[in-house]
Amino acid sequence: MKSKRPISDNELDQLLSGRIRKTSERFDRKAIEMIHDHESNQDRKVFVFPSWIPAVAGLAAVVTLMIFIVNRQTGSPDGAVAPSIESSEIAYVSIPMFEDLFEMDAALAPAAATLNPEFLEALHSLSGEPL
Amino acid sequence: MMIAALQISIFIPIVAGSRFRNGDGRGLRKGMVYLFNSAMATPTRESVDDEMDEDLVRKIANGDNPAMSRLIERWKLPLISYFYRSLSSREDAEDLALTVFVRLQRAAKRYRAKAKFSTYLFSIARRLLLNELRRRRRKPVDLVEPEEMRYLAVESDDQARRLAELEEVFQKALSELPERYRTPLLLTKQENLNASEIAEIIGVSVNSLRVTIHRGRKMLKEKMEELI
Repeated sequence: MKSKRPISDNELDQLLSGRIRKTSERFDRKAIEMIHDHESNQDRKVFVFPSWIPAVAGLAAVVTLMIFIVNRQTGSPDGAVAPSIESSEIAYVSIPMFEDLFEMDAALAPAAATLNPEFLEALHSLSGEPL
Repeated sequence: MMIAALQISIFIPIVAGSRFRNGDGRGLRKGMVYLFNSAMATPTRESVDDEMDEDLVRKIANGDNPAMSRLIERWKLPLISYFYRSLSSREDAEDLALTVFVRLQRAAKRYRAKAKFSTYLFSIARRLLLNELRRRRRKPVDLVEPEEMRYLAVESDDQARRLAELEEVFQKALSELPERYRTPLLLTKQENLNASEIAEIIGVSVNSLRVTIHRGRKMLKEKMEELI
């Protein structure tokens, strides 16, 4: 039988402050399951491929390609000398004032071919010097 | 041996009393009262486990499951009690509390301690409660026995009997109260949150909250008196 006595502010506060004393076994079991589920999900977690790896790989590929192209244009990186061009491969443009010069060059070429390479090199190095 | 025990029993209240000493010579008495009260007090969340909630969430974000267990242990009863008062079903209240923990676990990495953790937690709880209230049709009530409830500051057996007597009526009246009145009342008294924290959870101004609490109390009392 409930008493008809009016409810005081203090009683209302106490009722509002009321909490359940303890959890049910069902809750405790489910809470443990929840934690275990989370744990197994973490164990199953596959390696997530970091998004920066493809970017870095792409950049490295571009840099390598650029180095390759630049080296192709400037000669091989080990300093090897490019093969010399034969005089027959040179196409001269016919300019009258240089005709004599070209004739001299043509006459000198067979003579130069008979020279010892050391002398030929010496001649080349002297070519800029006044005689 | 006995002398040593006597010395210790006097010395400890003196040390404890030193924090109350103000030159009037009553430090020893106050110290003894303080020690007695400390020994008799119900352990609070903080005294049971001093680790900050924010630290626990950070650990949870790094996959620390014992931290999750500690956080559940700390907050399960406040959450279940809050949900129970609205849903009148222990089972539903427990399920919803678990859902809060699942949400928290998922959101742990994004958590930034901008406000008190309790404000964050009860914001999640209230959103879930509102969804549940919208979703649910009439569900059979599953009330807990009055003995399973614990109230603050019960001074006598008579008072305990009176509260047990009122529990059922209170639960019915409270669950009939619109949610916008019920949540502020519960968060004020059940969770001891202050006005600005509750205003943040509900999304109203502090002044408007005060009016809501005042009206809510009045409505609750009237409903209870109708039901008695």
